[in-house]
Amino acid sequence: MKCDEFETHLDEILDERRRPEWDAQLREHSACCPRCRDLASAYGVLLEGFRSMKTPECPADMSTRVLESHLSRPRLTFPARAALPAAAAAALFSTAAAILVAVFLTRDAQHEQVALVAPPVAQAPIAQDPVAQAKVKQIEQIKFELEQWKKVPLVGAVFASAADNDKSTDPYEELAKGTGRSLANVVLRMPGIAGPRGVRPLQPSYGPEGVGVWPTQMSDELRPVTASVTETFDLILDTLPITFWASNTRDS
Amino acid sequence: MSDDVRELVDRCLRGDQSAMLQLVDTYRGQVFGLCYRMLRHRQDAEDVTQESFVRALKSLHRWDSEREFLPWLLAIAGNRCRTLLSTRKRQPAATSLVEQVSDKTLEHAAAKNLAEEVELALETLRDEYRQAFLLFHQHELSYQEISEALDCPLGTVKTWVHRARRELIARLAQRGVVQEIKNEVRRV
Repeated sequence: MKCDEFETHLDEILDERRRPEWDAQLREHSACCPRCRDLASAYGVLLEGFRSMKTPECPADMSTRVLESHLSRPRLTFPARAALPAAAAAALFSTAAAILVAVFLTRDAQHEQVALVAPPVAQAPIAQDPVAQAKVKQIEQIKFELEQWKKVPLVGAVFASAADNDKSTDPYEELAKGTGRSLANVVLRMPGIAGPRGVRPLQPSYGPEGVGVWPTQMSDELRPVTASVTETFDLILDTLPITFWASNTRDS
Repeated sequence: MSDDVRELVDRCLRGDQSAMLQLVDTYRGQVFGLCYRMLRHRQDAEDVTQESFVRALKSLHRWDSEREFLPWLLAIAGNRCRTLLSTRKRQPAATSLVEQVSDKTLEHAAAKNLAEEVELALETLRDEYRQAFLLFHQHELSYQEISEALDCPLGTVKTWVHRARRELIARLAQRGVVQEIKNEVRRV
């Protein structure tokens, strides 16, 4: 063993928590090398001195102090959710309003274009109790209305139905040409025109009472709003590529 | 690791105060020992020991039960000590001055025994070296455990411990301690 290997080996012995004096290689080299012998001795002295160091006792009441301190600390609480910035709130509100208006507008358009089929013939009442009869009728009426609502197509169905066979007799196309409006605009504004675009003619249908049944109409208070929104919608339809899409769909 | 510690920790996590007391009582000696050796100031060591346990109880849920508990706890204590030491370095005020005067007094009074000399020599080490040396030789943690506790590579920990030994010996030799006692040790 060389001197430069001695210290490395000494470190390894100490790392393994073994006593250097018990290692044969170290003992052999230190017997013929005073410098390395001194080094080994110095390590021994260091560890001996370290082991003889005295540490004062930890106070016996440490556990109670810790517990008191631990319990007296305020629990972590999450900060209150910060209020939305005004701009974000305004954006959120306007988005919600736009969705709401769009839903109403869509429903309105659907009402106009839906052709309701004749209701099934009401069966003769069995119960003699007028209150019960009224209730049964009311239930039948609701059921009927629900059935009709299921038949209400989406606005997109108007465009979907545009791909049709007979293009020559398309009243929408004629109207579009005559008014100078886009085809999509005409279809959306006048959904009741019968023709190859697949919109069924507008007809009132009849419920169990024989009264014309129409899907719930929009309240009068909302009409000014919807009118202005419709105008905006028209403007958008005239400018957005949606009109090209509608024309392409029709031609394809 | 014994299941006793895991059970004790589980009870602490459930809010059992007697378990918390038991946990502190079990490890207070080792934590205080490290703090005292790191700080060489009894009152600071007590404060840091208390703070370390409070922190440990607060973050007990983060302890990985697959690993040993003591290295994790000593790592918290070591970190608190190093924070305090760095604060002392930034603020060489009253406390630090008192300690320095005390140290000088000790130095000039010529430490009477080997333990005091080693204690003085330890103080000259870098904080990382001292912490690694103490964890290895005083608390007998493995290099792997120290590496995990200090969150640094195992090779780095080994280097720190080796350098700590060499610097301590150099310091003892500088003060003539090694030469004096060398013969006694050899005799033994």
